[in-house]
Amino acid sequence: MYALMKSKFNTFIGGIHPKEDGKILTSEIKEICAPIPKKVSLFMNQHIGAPAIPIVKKGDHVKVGQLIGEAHGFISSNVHASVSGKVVDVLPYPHPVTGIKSQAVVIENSGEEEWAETTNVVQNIENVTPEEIKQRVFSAGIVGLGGATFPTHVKLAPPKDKSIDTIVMNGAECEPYLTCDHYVMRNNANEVLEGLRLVMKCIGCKKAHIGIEANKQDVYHIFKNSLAEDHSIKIGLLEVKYPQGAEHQLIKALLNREFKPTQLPMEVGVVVINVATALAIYNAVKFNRPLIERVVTITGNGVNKPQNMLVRIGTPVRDLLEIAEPSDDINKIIFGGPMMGIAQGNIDAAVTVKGTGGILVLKNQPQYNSHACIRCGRCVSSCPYGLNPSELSIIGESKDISLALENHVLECKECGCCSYICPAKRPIVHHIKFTKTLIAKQKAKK
Amino acid sequence: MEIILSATITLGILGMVFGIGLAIASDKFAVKVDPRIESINEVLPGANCGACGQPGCAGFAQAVVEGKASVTGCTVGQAAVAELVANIMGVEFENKERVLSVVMCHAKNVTNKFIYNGMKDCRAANIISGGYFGCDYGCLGLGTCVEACKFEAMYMGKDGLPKVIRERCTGCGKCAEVCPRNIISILPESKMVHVRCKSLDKGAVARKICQDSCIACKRCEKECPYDAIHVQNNLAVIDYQKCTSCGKCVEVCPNHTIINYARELSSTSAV
Repeated sequence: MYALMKSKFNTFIGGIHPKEDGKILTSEIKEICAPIPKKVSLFMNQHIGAPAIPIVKKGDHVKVGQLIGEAHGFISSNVHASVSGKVVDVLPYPHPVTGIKSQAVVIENSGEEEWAETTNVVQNIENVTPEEIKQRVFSAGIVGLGGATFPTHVKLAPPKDKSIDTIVMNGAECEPYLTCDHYVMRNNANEVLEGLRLVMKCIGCKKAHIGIEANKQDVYHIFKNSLAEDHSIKIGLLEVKYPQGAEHQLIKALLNREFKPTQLPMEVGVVVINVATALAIYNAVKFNRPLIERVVTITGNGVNKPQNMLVRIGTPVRDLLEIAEPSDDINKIIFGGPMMGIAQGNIDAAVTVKGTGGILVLKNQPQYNSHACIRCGRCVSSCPYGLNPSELSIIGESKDISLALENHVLECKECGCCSYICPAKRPIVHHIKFTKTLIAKQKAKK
Repeated sequence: MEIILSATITLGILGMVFGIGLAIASDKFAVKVDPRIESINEVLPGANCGACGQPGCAGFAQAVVEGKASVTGCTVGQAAVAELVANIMGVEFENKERVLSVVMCHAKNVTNKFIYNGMKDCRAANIISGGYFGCDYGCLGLGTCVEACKFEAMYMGKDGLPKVIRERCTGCGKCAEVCPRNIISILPESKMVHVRCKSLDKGAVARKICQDSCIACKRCEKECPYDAIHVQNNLAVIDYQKCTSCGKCVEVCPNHTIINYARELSSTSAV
């Protein structure tokens, strides 16, 4: 019934909210440290789509911001060196998100911090054309920094038959514990808004909405003040609930438009960008600076100094942990938030990628066993996509693909609300993920 | 008495009328089935495993009669069944050697990367950070192959690896199909020498992870008199066309990665 209660703020049906969402650990800390790693490993597939092709080889000298991986195909993205120094190896390295070994360029920092000549050139953004924006975003290798890492230049070029009338900027940051977007919005509000205006100009639409969860009132007021004279951009305060920042739920709450889970937001004339992406777009267009660093939240009960850091892409997690002072009995490290994040198998090998917004370090994580479904229906009422997770979980165990398809397994976005709320501790999302791999395998066979 | 008589006569007449009706109908609407389908179906094992690629044994029988499947298509029945099917179809058949499943991993003292709480299925475990097992190529040991075996020819050994009972294995390939790491190979019965490792890691790395891994030292390659074993991508691979199972590579392998099954089989029936 919680889901149906009338809220003060706009929202969607379903979803969950943990009582203690852990944001307080890092949301008040204003200073930031920017460690320069001694060695970085840069994956060629830090984005959704085709991997980039490495254009440097062992022994080459590279500068900060130099292109080292060239986009290959339409849905693909460039990769740039995040430190200056020598390329020590180009080898398959275990990817922190997929877990599969993927090609990576390892660069040893010479400590010179020598930037590539083309970067840090201030450019005029008043008269920039949409084509130029698209070109600069593409060459800067910008991907969606909310976590899905979809190449942004593809989003900026919607098909001609879809008319886009609104840009939605996602500042909801609904994942518990994470505050990196909050930090970006508070400290770089004007740059973020400039980035949003560039996106509006590029796509050619007049309206934009910013969605912010009600627990970030300070940011709301900052934005309100800077937008006092600009009526084309509206700000909406949203209820504090997970997954408020997911495309479907965000658009439903802000614009009251709905579309199928299998469709993209462009079906209802919307393009969604994350605040961190907007900042990256601003930096790329204004300073020609490629995406080589981002704000990462290091938090959880396993570190003594939880904080936000400005981290170079490809930094080893060990370096970051050292600054955050880990306790000795850590037993879980998650890339991303607790709901959709990916637990890391090998901490010594883990390096940050473009999509890493948070590193959650936990200790005293209990071991638990899952039980049979007790049909309480909590997962059904929490599913923001209106699916029946309990049924999908049981089908996943019995490996019945046709029944799973009948129950719309492919509409699941794996947000994790059902697994979080399940009193029998069933790994529901794992069951669904597994069913999806079986379906993909069967399709490949045909 | 009258009531009994009239009832008997009425029922008798009705019975005759329906009987004649049925007899005519069965003759007129008879579906003609090739009798060979039925007789082939009878000689098949009847496990409906689907290893032939057809929907069950009846489907295979029909496909053989229609010429869509070969008489030797039933891998489960092997030569014995193939001969019977060939006799029914009235064709000659080439005697194929019996094939068996071989598990190509011998993980020893491998530590897990992390604690796994999820589904008890290798395929499901393999999608979580590439599997919890210390070796990225080795057997996860959750027994999905054992579950898939329809002939109870596999079981999980005490060392956490699946074992194949050679007498029961039919070479249907179901276990190899479900294995997410392609550890199980289907090979002819006479081939006895196998490289029980799939690791493509460099020798030093592989050795650190697993005591029984292939370290790509190439000693087997130098020793082989038939040019049948080669190191490719840090892993010794046997060319079974050339291999005669002489066992010379087994003797020089420093890590006991290559083994001779004939020797192991003398003590047990499952490897």
